[in-house]
Amino acid sequence: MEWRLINQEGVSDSFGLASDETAALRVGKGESPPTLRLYTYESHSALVGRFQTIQNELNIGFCSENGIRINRRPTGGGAIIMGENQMGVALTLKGSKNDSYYKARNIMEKFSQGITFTLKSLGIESSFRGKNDIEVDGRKIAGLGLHRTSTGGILFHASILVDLDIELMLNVLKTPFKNLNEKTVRMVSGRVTTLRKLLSNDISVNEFSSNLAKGFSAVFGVALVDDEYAVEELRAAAKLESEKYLNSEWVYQKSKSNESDGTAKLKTNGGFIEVSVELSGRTIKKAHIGGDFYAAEQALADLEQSLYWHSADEKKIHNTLSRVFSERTDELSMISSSEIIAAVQKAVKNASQKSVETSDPYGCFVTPDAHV
Amino acid sequence: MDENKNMEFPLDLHYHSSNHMWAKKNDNGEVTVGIDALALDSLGEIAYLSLKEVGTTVKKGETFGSLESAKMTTEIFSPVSGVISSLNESVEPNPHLINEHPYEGGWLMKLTPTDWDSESQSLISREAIIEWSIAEVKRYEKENLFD
Repeated sequence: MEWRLINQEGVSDSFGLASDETAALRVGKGESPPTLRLYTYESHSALVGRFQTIQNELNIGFCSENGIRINRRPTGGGAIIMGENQMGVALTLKGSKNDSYYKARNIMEKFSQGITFTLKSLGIESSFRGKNDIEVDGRKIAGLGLHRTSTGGILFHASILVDLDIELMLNVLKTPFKNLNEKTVRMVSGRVTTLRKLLSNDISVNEFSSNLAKGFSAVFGVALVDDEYAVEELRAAAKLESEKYLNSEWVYQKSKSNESDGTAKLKTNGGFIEVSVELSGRTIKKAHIGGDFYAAEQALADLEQSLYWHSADEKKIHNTLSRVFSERTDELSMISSSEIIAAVQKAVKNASQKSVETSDPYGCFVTPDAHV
Repeated sequence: MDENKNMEFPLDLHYHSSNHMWAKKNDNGEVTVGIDALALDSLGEIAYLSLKEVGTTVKKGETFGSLESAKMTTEIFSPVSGVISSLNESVEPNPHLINEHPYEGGWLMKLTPTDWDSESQSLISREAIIEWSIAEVKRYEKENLFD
């Protein structure tokens, strides 16, 4: 089996997003071949997830003053910054003709193997975790997204950090941090990692791109053929770019979901616990568990991740957190599971009671340090 | 009501065999549309939903909205053709209702059908639901998302 391989550097976000959606629409109809596009965007763009409200996610004034373009992905998830040192992956495949949702819960992991396999070939052990992250030792290195088009085409998106200007990211994304200082940058650095940091060298984007192509080829058992978009694809992409990705009605649309946030603080024998959550309707979009109690950071990150895109139902929260506690007994031995669960449930209850028009969610690569 | 692997497929509804939307013809002639339990099990928690406006004409198999769930963003497809007569105003701000009550409070839209008698023939209904739903659950467990 063959896939087309398209390498692009420094393209605009609007063209890139339009060409990915065009390829996914066309592959669904059998008009374009399966395509792996490996790319970087012109520095810099801030991209929000399909349904995010830009005013809640990005510092629009900073973006405007610094020439950072804003756009909206067709895939879900959180806001990201893209530029010359963030490697983009767009894989477009034809969905199975008999179905709309086949095993959606498993398929993201399958796609992520193209990336984890590549990282392993470079000596980096990584794993897929939660809704859409690839992490190395608990630190996020890539964000993933999956979109099914109206024609049945599937678009898999990934953004991999070859390098990252954390200070710039913290200026672009709205974060829970009141001040941007060295401590904040250090805190975020503890939750994010990059290829160059892990390899201790200046691996080029081109070199990594070549590794990725080999990784996807091996994982999916396909031959990749270097190619470019056909004229009719470029024409369709240009039309979609003009009508959608350069159109403020798409880019600045607002979600109709009830979004709210809540916190809970609890003093326990093991220490002080502080939990904050963000809800969309009755779904937990994000959770942060901090305080001055002792626990392994990886275990706390697991607790937080287990709540990501989780039901706000009290019983389900109890069951999920109990399961994580049972898997992390030693690392969480200094704190009681019932107290953490109670704090999370309280934060969710507070969020449910507080319907706010604008929340203050964290960006895709920003989660406060587990230890406050 | 049949229960299949903790998934319910009420026998008074019609199901689209591939996109897993359900449809129910009401006494006033309107058709209520929603997402069935198997699709919701695969999608996970729905956090965002956007539906087309009342008055929009939709054709069978065409999109009438989109959603973001725990696992993906996707278009949602109408099981029958018609004109949207009303939307469930509760589910856009509270999409979790779809997961919690897929066949009651989690319905998505009502439409005035344009070809119900013909199109409903191709939907799964009555006693065929039991065999179909059992087979579908098995199929979901075995097959892949893409060819």
